Amino acid sequence: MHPILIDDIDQLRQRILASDAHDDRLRELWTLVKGSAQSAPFDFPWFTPFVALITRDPRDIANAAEVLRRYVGKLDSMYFSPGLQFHFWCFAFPHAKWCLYFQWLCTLGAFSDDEAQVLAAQLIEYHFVNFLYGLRTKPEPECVDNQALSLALSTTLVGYLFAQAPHHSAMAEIMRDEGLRRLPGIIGDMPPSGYSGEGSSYMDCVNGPAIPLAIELLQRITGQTDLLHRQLTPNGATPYSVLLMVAREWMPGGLLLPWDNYGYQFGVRAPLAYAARMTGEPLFADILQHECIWSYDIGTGWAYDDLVWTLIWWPAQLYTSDTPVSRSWYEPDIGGALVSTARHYYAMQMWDDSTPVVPTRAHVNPNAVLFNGYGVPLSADGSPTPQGTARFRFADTVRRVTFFTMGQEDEYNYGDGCGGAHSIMIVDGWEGLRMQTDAPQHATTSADLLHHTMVCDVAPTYQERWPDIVRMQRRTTLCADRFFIIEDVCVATQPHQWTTRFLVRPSFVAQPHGAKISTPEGVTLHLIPLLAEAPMYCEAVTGHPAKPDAACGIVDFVTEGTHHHQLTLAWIATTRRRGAAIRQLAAVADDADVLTLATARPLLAQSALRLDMRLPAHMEAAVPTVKRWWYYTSVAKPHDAAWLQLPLGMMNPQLWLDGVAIDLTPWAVSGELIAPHVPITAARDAVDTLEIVLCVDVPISHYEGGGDGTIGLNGGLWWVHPCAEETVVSWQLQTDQVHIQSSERTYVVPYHRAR
Amino acid sequence: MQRYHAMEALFRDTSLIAEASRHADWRMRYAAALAMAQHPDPRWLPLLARMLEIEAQRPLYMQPPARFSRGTGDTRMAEQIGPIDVFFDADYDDATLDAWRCRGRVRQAVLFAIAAIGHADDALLDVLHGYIFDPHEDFTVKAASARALGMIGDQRSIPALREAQAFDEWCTNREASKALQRMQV
Repeated sequence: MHPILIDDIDQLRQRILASDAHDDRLRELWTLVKGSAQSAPFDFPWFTPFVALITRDPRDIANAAEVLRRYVGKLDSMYFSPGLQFHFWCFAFPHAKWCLYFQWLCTLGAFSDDEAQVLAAQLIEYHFVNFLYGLRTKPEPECVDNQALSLALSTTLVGYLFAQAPHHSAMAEIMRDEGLRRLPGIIGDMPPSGYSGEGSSYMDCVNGPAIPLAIELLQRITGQTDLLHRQLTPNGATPYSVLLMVAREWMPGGLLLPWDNYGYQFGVRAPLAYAARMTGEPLFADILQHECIWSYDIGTGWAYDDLVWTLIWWPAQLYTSDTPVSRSWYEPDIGGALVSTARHYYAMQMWDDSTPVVPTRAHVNPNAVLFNGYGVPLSADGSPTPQGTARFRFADTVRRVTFFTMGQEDEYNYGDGCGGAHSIMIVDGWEGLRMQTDAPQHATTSADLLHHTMVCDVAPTYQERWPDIVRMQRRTTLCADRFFIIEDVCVATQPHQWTTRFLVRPSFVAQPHGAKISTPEGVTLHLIPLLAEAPMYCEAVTGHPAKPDAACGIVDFVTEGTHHHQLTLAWIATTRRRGAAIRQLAAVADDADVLTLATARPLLAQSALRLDMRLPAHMEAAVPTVKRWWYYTSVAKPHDAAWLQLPLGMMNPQLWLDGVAIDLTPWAVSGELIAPHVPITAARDAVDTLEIVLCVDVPISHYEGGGDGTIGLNGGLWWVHPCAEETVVSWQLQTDQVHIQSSERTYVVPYHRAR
Repeated sequence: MQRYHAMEALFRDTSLIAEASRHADWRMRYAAALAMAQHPDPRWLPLLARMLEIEAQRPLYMQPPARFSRGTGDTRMAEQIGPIDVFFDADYDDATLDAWRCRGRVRQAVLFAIAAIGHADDALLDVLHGYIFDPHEDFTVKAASARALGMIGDQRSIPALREAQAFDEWCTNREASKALQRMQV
């Protein structure tokens, strides 16, 4: 009996166990997964069965068997949770994974025959009464989303597992056949772009991880090959196109596109590993090598086993390209990204369809643009803080529902999903822009990636309310591999008020022309109208979006009339450069959580343990899984170093520089996603050495992120230096070219304005 | 194990279905309805109607919010392993707890069986319409009811289907729209 969905377990074991001898990512990942499972098998339960499968160590097998028993032991309680009763897809996918891991453990003889029979009966019956029921709730064939995919895949998998020997279950046969009947259609009916319209969260955490499993499962059941590149329904998506869209959601710096409801977040890795393995395309390897955050743990399909499947699918060779992999892309029905060669300058323009009537998930963002500079997000998008904000709460955007609760009424504001909360064109001040009918939302689109430009007319989105609107076109162009021009052309037969709106990260910097922000990481975005100066209004908003700043700025350029023609220069620059890394910090575990700065210092002075703070200690070295760690170093301070870049994703960090406590609350939210830059104060400018003491917690279980993703410290400690910002000095828009004089050079770029 | 084997047997021996449709355990009744849908036959209709009567006697939707030893009952409990204990504000008997476990599962399975058969008498039609108009009914049942009404195709169902079409839940309003389309309304 072989573990199902693993091609060759002997080869996999050999490869992973041999990785100990190499210094590569595979070894690092295996050390991380094995160390977590062996030191805390019930806190990292999603790693434990796989570790047992690879090591075959009796202790690991016993732990994994106990994890499985505990999983089965929780099932009855779940009946009384609204989660299982109303969001059954969230429970179906992990249930199928535990059924699969049960099968793996049976190959190791983890259970007696009698116990295996009892466990199998419980697992089969639970899926049959809960998740076959759930799958049948989803209308066929038009329900195509992460929920239906989870239900169909899990039902197929559980059915496949238990329809065969030794179980030969009739209920499993029904589930296998019902799942198999629906699964190819659900994948195949995704749009040809591969984007389900559900935002990065569901694309990355559910659809992406489901695709490799679905392909492997379907190929095993049907005997077909190469399903990755096959259209499973006419005119629909290939599984490959879904994985490609998952990859395209990664922005430089490692965050995913914040489009639609859930804002910025980190990406998962297994779908990329699978795509890299199966296609050999450098794009996937490029992201795996340069963008991934390995200390990040989030439920993929509501299961914390992303790294397990990353290990299983890790390619034998990461194919790279001699030339930089282009990260620009374009999809006619979705949008596209324009990215400079060195990836310092990134803009995405989107016109993906929104949900009519109640745009809770697929937001209304016709032609919205998002900017990213030097790997740092510059635009604001997503959803508000849990406390909410009144800014995008409108009189007609509050929805009250009872059908997902047990007797209560839940209230949702979907105003933050409407047009006004996005960097779009707003007409007559209606921020609640949304569709009422399921009609086309954009007209013509085109792109020329060779010349770094794309254009879309989204007039249909607006014509539902204003039939006189003829044109709502936006063109984004990357000029000279350096700056962007956003050109808006709006035409109507009746006069309107037109607003070109940008939602940006804090904070505004006063400028004589246009609007400028400077992020806490020292990256600037200057928005300058290139035609006549339209009246400009800036507004600081608190509470939206939740991440990375729990705040944003709104920049509005407003005109009136039957025509609106605005060209906005988007100029991105940095004011800082990263210097040398600070490595080999002395480290001490504070397992009893009792140390203070005074008591930690002598222990740190005596400690022989040296760590780089690139990962939590137990992921970086063979040390116990302990929550609180202290780090110390005294280092020569480079000339003109003005900031310390701390690891991102630190939990409860405390920092002392030369014994002085530093207030880290300004980075309490953003530090989860973006590495903080802590200023080295003027008083310390004169000193040659700097004593750094850091106390930081790290996650010691999958669950410390409360379901929104757990991240352990990541990225190390760096000096950061000021650098001269390349600023815009003057500009001139001529008939067929744009002339920009910066503080460093002159740019003369052909540019043909829209007619 | 005994129940599991009994459920399995229903899909291998149709002669067991009728008795299972009256079984005290709802999971057996659920499996019986699925087995009927595998072998759709109008002779099942009285049994299916009786199954809905049994469900009507149960406090399916009376559960108060529960507390859990870990988690809050939301979707984040999906990723957890056990043990997780559940607590209520008072003691409830086993039949009540079992009704709360079940909610609309048996009803949905019965409605799918009726849809597979494609017929219903007036009394059964009234029950199906009632699910749609009942504000306390789960959406899983409303959606299945709309689907079944579309398969039955009786014009008297149009008001109920219009009601379902206006319901602010996608599966239900989608199934209702399809049913009306099927009835060429």
